[in-house]
Amino acid sequence: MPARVLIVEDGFEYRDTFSRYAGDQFEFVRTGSGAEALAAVAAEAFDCLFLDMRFDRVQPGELLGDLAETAERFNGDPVRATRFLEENQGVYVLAALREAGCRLPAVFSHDFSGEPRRWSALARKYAPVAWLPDNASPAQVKDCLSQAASGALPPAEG
Amino acid sequence: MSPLLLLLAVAALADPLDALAPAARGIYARAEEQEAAGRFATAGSFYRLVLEQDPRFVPALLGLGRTLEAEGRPEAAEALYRASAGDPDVTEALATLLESGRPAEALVAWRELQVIRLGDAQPWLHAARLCIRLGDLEGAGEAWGTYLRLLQSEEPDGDTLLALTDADPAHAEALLRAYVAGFPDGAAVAGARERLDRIELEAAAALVDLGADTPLPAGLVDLAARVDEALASGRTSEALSLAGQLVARSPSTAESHGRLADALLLTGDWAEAEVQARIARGLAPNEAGTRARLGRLLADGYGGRRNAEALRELAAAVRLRSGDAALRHRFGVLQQAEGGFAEAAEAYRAVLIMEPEGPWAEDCRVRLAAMERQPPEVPVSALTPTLPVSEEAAHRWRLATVLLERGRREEALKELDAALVLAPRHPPLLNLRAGLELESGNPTAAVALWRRSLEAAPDQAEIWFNLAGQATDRDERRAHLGRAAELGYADAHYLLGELAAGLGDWTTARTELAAYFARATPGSPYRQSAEALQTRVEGRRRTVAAVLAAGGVLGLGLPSLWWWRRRSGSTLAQVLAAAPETWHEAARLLAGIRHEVLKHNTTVLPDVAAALETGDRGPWEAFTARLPELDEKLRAYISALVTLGASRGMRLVPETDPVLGPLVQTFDRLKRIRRPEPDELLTLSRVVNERVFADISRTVREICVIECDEALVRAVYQRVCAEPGLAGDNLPELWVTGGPVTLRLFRPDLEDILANLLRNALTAGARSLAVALSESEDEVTGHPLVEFAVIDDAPGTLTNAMIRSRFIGRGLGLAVDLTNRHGGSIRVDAREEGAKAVVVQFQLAEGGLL
Repeated sequence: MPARVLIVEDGFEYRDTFSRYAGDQFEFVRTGSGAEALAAVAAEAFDCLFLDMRFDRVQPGELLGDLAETAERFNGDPVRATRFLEENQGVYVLAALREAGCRLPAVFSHDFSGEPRRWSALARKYAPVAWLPDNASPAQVKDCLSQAASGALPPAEG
Repeated sequence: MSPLLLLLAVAALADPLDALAPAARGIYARAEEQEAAGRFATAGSFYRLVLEQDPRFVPALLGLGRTLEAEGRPEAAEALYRASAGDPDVTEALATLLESGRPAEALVAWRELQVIRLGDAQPWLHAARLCIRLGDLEGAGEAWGTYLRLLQSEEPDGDTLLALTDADPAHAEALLRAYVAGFPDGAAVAGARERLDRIELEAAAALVDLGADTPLPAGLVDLAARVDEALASGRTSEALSLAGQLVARSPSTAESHGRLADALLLTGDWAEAEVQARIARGLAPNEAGTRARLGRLLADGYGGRRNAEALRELAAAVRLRSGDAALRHRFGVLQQAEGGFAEAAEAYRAVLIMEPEGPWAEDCRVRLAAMERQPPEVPVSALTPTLPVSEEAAHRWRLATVLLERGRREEALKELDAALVLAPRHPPLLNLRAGLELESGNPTAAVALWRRSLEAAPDQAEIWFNLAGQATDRDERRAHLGRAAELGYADAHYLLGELAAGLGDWTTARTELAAYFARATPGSPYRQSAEALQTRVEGRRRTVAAVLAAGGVLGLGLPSLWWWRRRSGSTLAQVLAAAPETWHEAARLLAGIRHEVLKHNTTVLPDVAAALETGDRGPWEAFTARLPELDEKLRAYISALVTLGASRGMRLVPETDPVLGPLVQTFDRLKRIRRPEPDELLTLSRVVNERVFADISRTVREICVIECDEALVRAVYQRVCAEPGLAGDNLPELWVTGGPVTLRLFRPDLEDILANLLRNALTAGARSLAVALSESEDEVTGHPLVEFAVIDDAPGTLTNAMIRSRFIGRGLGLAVDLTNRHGGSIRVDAREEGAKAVVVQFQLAEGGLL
């Protein structure tokens, strides 16, 4: 039985691309927002999560995160706050899933190679987690998802 | 009808005299006669006789009251009325009696009547009048409102309305407008219009600011000159910084704000420039420069949407500085754009009188000539050409044309189809019908109609061009464009050139572009794209030429190549280093290449190669199907980078750039591959997915990263302390804690932010001052953050709201703007013992933003 991967993305590119190259090895289910992802993990069983980072194609109202509080941080500017929520939405989605008790291994689609400190913070907060850069080949994608689905990612500290 | 209602109806219709005994009726009639004749004493006696017989007969009581009043005995009348209180008519008589001399008591009576006579508007009208007299405007307004509601659509009492609006100007406008709109012929319309006119005048006058400008202090004249010099030399950052200082030190001087507006305009910050220009104008509304600056800004900054206000400002400026030819020319141009031809002509003539040989004279002459040109007469014969189709078909065609102009599309189509039945091979009719099909989303039907049109008249270049636009096959598209080009359609040459370039056929691309530029009119929609393509083609040609030269002249090759590269343009890294302010935009475009071109696309090349090894061409065909779209996206991003470089005066040549060049070359090669080899695909994959990817990330990551430490903060502080307005003062020692912190910012901007905050703390009277450098972490996203807090004990209040509204008094606008521009935030925190900290926060620079 193929491993079930919940993809959370604002488009359909990951689902379509992964299905083309890894459809025989995984079953991909796609949700388009944090709210849909929360509903999906509550209703179905998955082996791991795959999270897009930037969500700039959803309606601002569908973004997770406190817009008013974020705007306060950006000099009261709701436009910049919305952009921040869009650019980091993948993390907000995982934060909400963890808050809801979901402990599934998660893979971010984001290049953290230049942000070791940030990645260390995220791994500490949301483990088990991994990341794939934008230029990951299908083989790398399959390998990473296999590890995640089989529970081989490092667990949460403590 | 129910018996009760019937009874009530009969009662309402009954004559009150019916209630009297026959003898009393006669006496009552005599009373009325005597009263009508002015014999009030006699009339009163008769009324009394009636009342003796029937004390509750109200008409007699009212009659007696009237006679008493007429005899000059109002107190007796009042006593009479009060003795019969409770009857509506008697209460009304009492209220009327009291209204002139005792308004408060009259008001009580009218209010009783409001209850007794529910639904009657009159008591409310009287109450409104009395409230006005008593100064109770709220009561008057409420009474008037109820009066209007009860009147429904009847005309209200105009005199009371005018009295009310005179007494209560705050609510007058709405009441007057409602009256004028509802009763345009009403009795009080003239008075209402007169008052509305006054209200509008008062409102406009309230907006007229007579200004409170203070002259520039003598100590700041040098600083102002330095701003002017920086502005004239185009040294934007310096001008902005100096003008910010000028405003901070002389905030109530129009000249300071005007210079800051000019500096902000240079940076492209239109919004803040307008704020400053308006402040300057408010401070010195009678100074031509402030009016002219705001007028020009409004005219240039809003694409014509605020030309009306711009014109008012320029008109005022012209009035104040009538001898300025440049100003008058600008005013004329704007007037002409807004349709004020007479005013524009007057302005142009004035310019020609003032400076007949000046720089604007020729433009004024051309514009005047154009405005005075008379339309030529078209010969009648030319307007009545021989009809190309039958009269009936022409009639239908004309009808269709008119119906289309009026938006009645369905009817137009019927007429057009009827015309086509009569003239089925007439090209203009077929082309019109085809255009309508295309508009309706039926390209297949449009293509069929165009083909019929071309069968009838094959030399229609535009129709071949249209067909090319709908072609689904590249060869078919090229064939149609070729036919259009043969027939002299210049735009077809451009598209042929683009097609050739897409296939790597640079020679054909060059030839077609040359043909395009030779034939295209100035208004060709493809001119800009053609110029961009020409840059690409020439870059490519130079690359080939350089390679040939290098091979042919090896001895001179390397120096020549070095010289050629120096001459032929700049690399992306050079552009970013020379113009670091382009970094945000460049990073966005490079992120676009990574996300939209490489991700999901070129990353599959290894698997495409693996599939080819097994003889499966499916993935390769899927990849090549997407390739044209990817290539188009890549070209668009690269073109934007070239434009970005050009905006800073640098010519970025993508083909020779160490980051972009390999990417462009890989895509060119991928497009040319007809027989894909797995090894070559793997090689190309390594180039784009590994080398280019890493290079793009590094390019972005390594630029503009600076370290802020104690030494930098102290250096900025020393510079601030040495400024003319502060030097020599007893300034506090600066405490610096924490750090160093790493962030992505241009060093001059970081220094400006720090200097602005420190300077403001000092000028606000700080006696102790500290800067705390620290790091933190975003709770959700894990982003590491850096903060620098400028802590001072200066008196006065500073809040986040003040900072965000560009609080001029503390001159923090510059720090706020620079912080915003670099994605940071700024806030005010309260600290112990009445101190406060202005805290600036940025993301810690540990990697690129991609």
